Amino acid sequence: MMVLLLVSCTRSTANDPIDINFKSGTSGIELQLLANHPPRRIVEGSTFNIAVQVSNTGAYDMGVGEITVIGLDQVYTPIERQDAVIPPLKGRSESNNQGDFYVQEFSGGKTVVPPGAKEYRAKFLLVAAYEYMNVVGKDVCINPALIEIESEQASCQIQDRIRLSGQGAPVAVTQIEETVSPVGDDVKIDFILTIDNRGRGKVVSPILISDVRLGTKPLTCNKREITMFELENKRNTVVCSRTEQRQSAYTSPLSATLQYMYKTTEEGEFVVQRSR
Amino acid sequence: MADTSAETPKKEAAAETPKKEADWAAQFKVGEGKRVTPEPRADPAVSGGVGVATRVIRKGFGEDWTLKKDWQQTKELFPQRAETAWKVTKGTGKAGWRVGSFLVTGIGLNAFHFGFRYADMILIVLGIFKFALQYAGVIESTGATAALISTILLLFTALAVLNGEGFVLAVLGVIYVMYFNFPPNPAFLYIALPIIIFGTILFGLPSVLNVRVIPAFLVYFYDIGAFHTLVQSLGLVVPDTMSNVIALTPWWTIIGFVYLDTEQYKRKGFVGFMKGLCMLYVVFSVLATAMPGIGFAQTPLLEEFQQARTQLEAGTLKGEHPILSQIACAVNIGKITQQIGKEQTGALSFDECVKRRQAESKCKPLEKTDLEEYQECIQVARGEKQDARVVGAIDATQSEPTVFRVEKGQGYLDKIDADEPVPFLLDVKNPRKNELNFEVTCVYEAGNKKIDGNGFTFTTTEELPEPHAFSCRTSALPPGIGKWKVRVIARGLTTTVGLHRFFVGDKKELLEDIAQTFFLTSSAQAAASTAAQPRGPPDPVRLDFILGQPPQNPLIQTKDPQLIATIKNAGGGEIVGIERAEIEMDTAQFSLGPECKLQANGDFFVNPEINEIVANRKKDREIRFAFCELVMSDVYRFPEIPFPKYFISTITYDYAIEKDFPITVFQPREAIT
Repeated sequence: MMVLLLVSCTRSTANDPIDINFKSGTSGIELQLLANHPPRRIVEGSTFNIAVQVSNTGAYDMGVGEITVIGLDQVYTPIERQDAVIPPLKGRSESNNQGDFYVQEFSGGKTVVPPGAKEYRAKFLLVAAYEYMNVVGKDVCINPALIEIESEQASCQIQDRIRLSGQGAPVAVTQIEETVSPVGDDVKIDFILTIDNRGRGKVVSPILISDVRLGTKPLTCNKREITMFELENKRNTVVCSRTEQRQSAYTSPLSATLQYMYKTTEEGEFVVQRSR
Repeated sequence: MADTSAETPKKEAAAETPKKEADWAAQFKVGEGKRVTPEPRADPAVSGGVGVATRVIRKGFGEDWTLKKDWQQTKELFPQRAETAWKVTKGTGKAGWRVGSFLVTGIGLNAFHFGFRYADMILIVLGIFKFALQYAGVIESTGATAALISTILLLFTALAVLNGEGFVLAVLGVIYVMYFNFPPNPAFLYIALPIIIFGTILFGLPSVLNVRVIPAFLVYFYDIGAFHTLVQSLGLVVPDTMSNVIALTPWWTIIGFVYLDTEQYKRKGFVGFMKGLCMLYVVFSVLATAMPGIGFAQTPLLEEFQQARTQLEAGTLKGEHPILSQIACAVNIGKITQQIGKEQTGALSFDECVKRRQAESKCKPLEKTDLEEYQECIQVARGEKQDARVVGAIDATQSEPTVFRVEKGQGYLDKIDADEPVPFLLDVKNPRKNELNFEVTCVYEAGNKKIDGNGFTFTTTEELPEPHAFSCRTSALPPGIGKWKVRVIARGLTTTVGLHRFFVGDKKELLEDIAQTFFLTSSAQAAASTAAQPRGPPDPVRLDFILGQPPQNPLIQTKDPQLIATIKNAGGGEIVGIERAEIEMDTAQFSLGPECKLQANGDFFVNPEINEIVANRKKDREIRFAFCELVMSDVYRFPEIPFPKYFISTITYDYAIEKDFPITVFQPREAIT
């Protein structure tokens, strides 16, 4: 009886909803070659098949995407079609904690070994280019008090610099800096957002920054996009501001949406050996 | 052994008889430059004598200049030689006396020993110390610091451990390795001769002639990375296990053990055992590397050596080791700058200096073989001219060459009777099963006389399991010395060479991915990648070609490419004829520039004049096949998806080799009646 009571008092976890923050991490669309597709070694004259699992392991739904096979010589390892459209794939969520995935196949033709050679090493590169997005959401303290004593007595304290990890997508807002300055009777609140590529691939379009809000109130930003050049050269910040009346401190969610094209790659190879 | 000379009155030494003194000299091997290890004696007079001898022999350079004060002792110890010195310098005054004595003691007596007891043990410890520093990553194994330490250790070995024996030799070796390149450069003599002369005066003849320093020099050679350059230059395959053994051996310690003077130590047996053990280690780890079947992952065949040679001769010019360039540039950047003719354009940075010295050193071998090519090479190295050389690589998938050679057969004799056949073997390697037709002719030459011998032909489409045996004979050979000249022509040899290129067009966003995946480097470095070189078997003749803008760059974007092709003869024989020589390309997609000598023939580009060109340059190592500007079609210039192409050149040719076999023919025997 005692044991039963004790058991019933223990915290049940099996049926509890899993408390996972899906909007974390830095992955997006992932490519993984399926084993034996193609086999590591095939005999000259036989055909081959490339099969790749395309998974959306990010936290957002993928829009438009395309996957391409690059590097197979059409003379020795002909391939029927080199590119394919990636269907819309939903990202990870409470109802789909793995994210959507599908298998893309590329059919190859009859293989040939170049004259004189014993074998031919066919190397290829799978490139997935897709449209992706992420939304950053972080509670920030808005404290229009400019005098330090007042500021210390406020209900929340401004953090000069908030560092963030990924938001469930390869591109992430990695830092938010907040400054408050007086503008007449009002105060101007500036948020400097630092945006980085934290994924394993490459950003292949400008990163569009939209819908930057403080709670429901829109913010004005100094630029609407960060170009690839700016991203590579560490000019990867955007300043978003809002002027507010002086009032007591409060906490409000800062949110912003980033949209971009992203590219991820996967290498593969197989050997075509001359038939005896 | 303590120096007792201070306590020993000179008179005691003087009291010894000349005979005894000569005995000591013989016992201590003073004149032969060996380490002096006098045995302790009970006789105080003798002990005093030992003290004097030891001091004379072991004293440093400074004290030897004060030889005058020791003159009496020298005279007592070596009366005859001292007398000779006196005669030589008599009448030339004080300075002359000094020089005379100096020369006599330096050259004749070899009195300037810098060695000291336990120097070998110090070398062992220093060796461990250097190895530990390298192993811990404090110093790089191939850095300038490591090279400097190696140089110091070598000189220490020669001077302290070997008592100066081979010291001058070591110094010359260091200078040669650092400032000169192979093959031997006569300019080295201008530096070497004065060093030899002064070195002989200062350190004695053994410092120049004694070769005991050579093992230490070999360790130095390995340590500074020259060994690796040699391995790379020869394209030798050193298995990983053996490389590891060599790399993880504290060689200076080993060499310290090898040079251990067992006589110095009480436990001679143990020291001797350690010495022997280290010698065995050296034999197994170094010599075994060169022995087939022990160190090699697979037994190296002669073909592999030929392969190395072919690779070397196929145009892969190797320069000096980068570390040597770095040291040279660090030592005297101004001098180097001047040497390489940069004075007009200002000083070079250190990196530029190293880079240029590297590039120019690669041209050195051409200086003697082809001055025009050498000048072109230098211009290319200085960036004054476009690099039009075609450097080929060996294709791992067809690494065995199609080769043939003539060797002495079983029962071959150097001295034969006039009608005796001489056996030979024709060894044919035909891994790609070409249909080969061989024509073998024998000609006997003695003085101006030429006598045609027999000949034969045969065809094979297989790899011969055994060499083909044949004999050269003629009805009657003239008595005396002559030679069989065996000439073999192989017809129908075919060699294919492939070239990997990527047409990227304007898809710049994929450029780096493609470079990294297919050429294992960045797009900026892709031209230097081995994967960008034409690759084929190490056959005697190849048609190597490159395509791109510049032609070494495998990543072709929107700029029209150049095509450069060269026939390379690396087999040491002659190209008798060319049946076909062509580069398979998508000829419809490439237009040839106005200066181009090529013609499109179906899917191939051919040079219609090649047979005429080759007819006059049968033995030339390189014959230009094409130097063309091409214009790409839009299919290649703006591809929707970047695509690779594996272009192939094929050359089918007849190739001749000739070999002489010296023979002595006996006088004909008289018939017995």
